[in-house]
Amino acid sequence: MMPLRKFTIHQPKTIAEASQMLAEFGEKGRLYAGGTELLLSMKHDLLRYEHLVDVKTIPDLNKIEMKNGSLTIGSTATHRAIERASIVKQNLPVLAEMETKVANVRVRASGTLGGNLCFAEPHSDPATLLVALGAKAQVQGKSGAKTVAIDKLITGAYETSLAADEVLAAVEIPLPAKSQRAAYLKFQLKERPTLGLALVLDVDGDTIKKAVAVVGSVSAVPTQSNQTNSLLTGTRSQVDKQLTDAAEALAQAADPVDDLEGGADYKRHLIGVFLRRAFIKALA
Amino acid sequence: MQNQDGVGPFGAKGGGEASLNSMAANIANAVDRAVGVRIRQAPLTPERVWRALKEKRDKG
Repeated sequence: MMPLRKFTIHQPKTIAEASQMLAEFGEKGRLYAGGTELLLSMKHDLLRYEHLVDVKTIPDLNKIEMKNGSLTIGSTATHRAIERASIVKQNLPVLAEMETKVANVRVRASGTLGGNLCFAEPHSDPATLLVALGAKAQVQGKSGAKTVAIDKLITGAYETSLAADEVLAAVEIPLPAKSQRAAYLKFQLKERPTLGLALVLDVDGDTIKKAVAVVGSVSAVPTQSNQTNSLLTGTRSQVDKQLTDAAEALAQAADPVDDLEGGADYKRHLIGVFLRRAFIKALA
Repeated sequence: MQNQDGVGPFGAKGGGEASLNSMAANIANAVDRAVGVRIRQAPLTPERVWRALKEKRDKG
């Protein structure tokens, strides 16, 4: 393997400074956080940057806190920090549980939530769950701050809607209401998941009033289908009968692709299996 | 049986690894006995077993 090409690390103290640096370096620079994806790609010479802007030096950017009924996670919080934080375990156990199964413990110890979302690798566990939970990204750039839904942030494989000067500051996740049940399941044999499936149900007695099912890893971006979501509402026994159709509609929307983690037809099959399992788990 | 292995101190030779040779075949046989499909390639991933089952079902 080739040695890593030379680059310069810059360590800003504020987001505004980071944004300024990124704007200045343009194509020659990239934001650097955990480095679990970026440095590996640079080592394989798949990506070349002369300047890395290390945002880990920005104070409090890794903060995890409750704010106005939302769990706010700073973008440089590591997967490990999120999985271990009692504030996450208590308020959003489904997120803590998902984080315990991201990659392996060495990756979780340095990989960050913000890095995971902004690198936009199609096999991201957090992206799939966060879309289902209706999470939002807090973005800061030269022109100020804005909020973007996660499914608007991730626009394609390795692609986000962030402009060159924009930095993901934090992820804001609304806490599920008492009537809501959430489950995240994944299927993984090798380095990356074949499939991740998140399900959030709004339950009233025996009736599911609202449902959001999101499937990730099977194609470029986490996907949901209005048809699937409406097939998942109704009484439990009614939805039980509609699960096959709901899964088919979700597979149709996601349009799985062949990759190292499995063939497209196999992934379609898995969507059916895991939607059913997630449904049982969410209502358990 | 002849082999190209050297002999260790005092004529010692590894014995434990011998059982590894048959392992893939053992598991493939077990899968065949359990669900009736013969997988001829290791590892026996869920996807390979699923494909074999599907092929068997499609053939009738």
